[in-house]
Amino acid sequence: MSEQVTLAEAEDRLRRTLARRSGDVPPAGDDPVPLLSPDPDLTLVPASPSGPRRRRRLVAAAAVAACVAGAAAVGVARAGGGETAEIMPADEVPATATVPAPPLTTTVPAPPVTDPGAPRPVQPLEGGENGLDPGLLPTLVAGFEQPGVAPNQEIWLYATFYPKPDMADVPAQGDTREAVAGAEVPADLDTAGDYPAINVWLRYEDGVLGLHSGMVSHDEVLAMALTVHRTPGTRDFTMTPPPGWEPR
Amino acid sequence: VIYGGVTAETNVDSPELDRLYRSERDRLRRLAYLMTGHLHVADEIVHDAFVRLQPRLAGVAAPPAYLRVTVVNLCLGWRRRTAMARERDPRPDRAWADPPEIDETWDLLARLPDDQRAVLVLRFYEDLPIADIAAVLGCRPSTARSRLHRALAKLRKEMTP
Repeated sequence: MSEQVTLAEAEDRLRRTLARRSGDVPPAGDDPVPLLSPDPDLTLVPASPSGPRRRRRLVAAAAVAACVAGAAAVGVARAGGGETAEIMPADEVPATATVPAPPLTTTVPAPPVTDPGAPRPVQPLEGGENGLDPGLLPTLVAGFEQPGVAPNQEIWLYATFYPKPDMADVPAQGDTREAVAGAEVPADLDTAGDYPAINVWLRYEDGVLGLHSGMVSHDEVLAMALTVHRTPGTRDFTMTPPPGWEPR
Repeated sequence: VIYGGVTAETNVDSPELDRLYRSERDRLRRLAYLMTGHLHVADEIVHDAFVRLQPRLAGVAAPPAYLRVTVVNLCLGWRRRTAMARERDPRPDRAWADPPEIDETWDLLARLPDDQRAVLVLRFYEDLPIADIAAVLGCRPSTARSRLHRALAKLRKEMTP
């Protein structure tokens, strides 16, 4: 009867495999960034394994680069409304440039409402092509660790802000709902799960702050929730972790 | 704010994009390769990620993190769309041979479901903690954790001689 590979052995083999195979990727060299293209088709279509679009993009980028005589150093000056921009040569044009650098006027496409490649907040592994802007991503706002305890093991404590469109992913109400006097957020605190994994949700107008913990007591998580302060108009939060925890 | 927070808009700074491209490109190409198994696809995806970042650069607080999320999403999207994703490029010519268990593990990785492969690469190649993996994948930390456990369990089972 064969003996099963231990978890540690599996993790070790996986790390070594990924490290070795990452060596299959040769360095890309020192090319300048080949991105500046006035053709919106070149910037908004999904990735494809075929090569023609990449070649078109490179050709377009090369053309722009030739015009500005400084391929890597090109400034984009936004005009009113962000719809039209003038691609200008950079202040420091290489002295060896032999091509005059006339300014080009082109149209910069406004950020698309849906972009299949952009980070999106709702289950990108399972949802549709519903890319949203980065402001709608869940954001990790704070993480804490205990000195001497390896992070990401069985003990964890961190806070994540889920913007409003992502609230569908957050339970409408936790296992318990507790009105906690003294909390900055006047709303209730929802708690979900039992020790050792407890989530506490603080609801704001524009989203929810989730305090996620493992092997931290219910009272400690609630106590930390009471210390949460949000700088008005921002997504900046401060909070005081339980004794023995430090920001990581 | 660590992931893609929006700040006050400033002018797009092309030297900044160029610096970012030079500093992040190879790391992202390796990540995309480990997720797709195809070198040329990895190049395409990293290219697209930078193209998508360009018009938003001024408003993205953490461009490297934004790029990583974009690359992961593009890799997952590509694998969903393309049956080719189940095949791999021919092994590159090189002067050394990998131990058999490396080849075997690479094959096992290629056969895993997309979400499980993604979480393994982010955890064991990028060395991200669960919270960061969840943020990259846009899922709950508990979801990321369970995917990781399922993927490891599957690997262990397949690795068993």
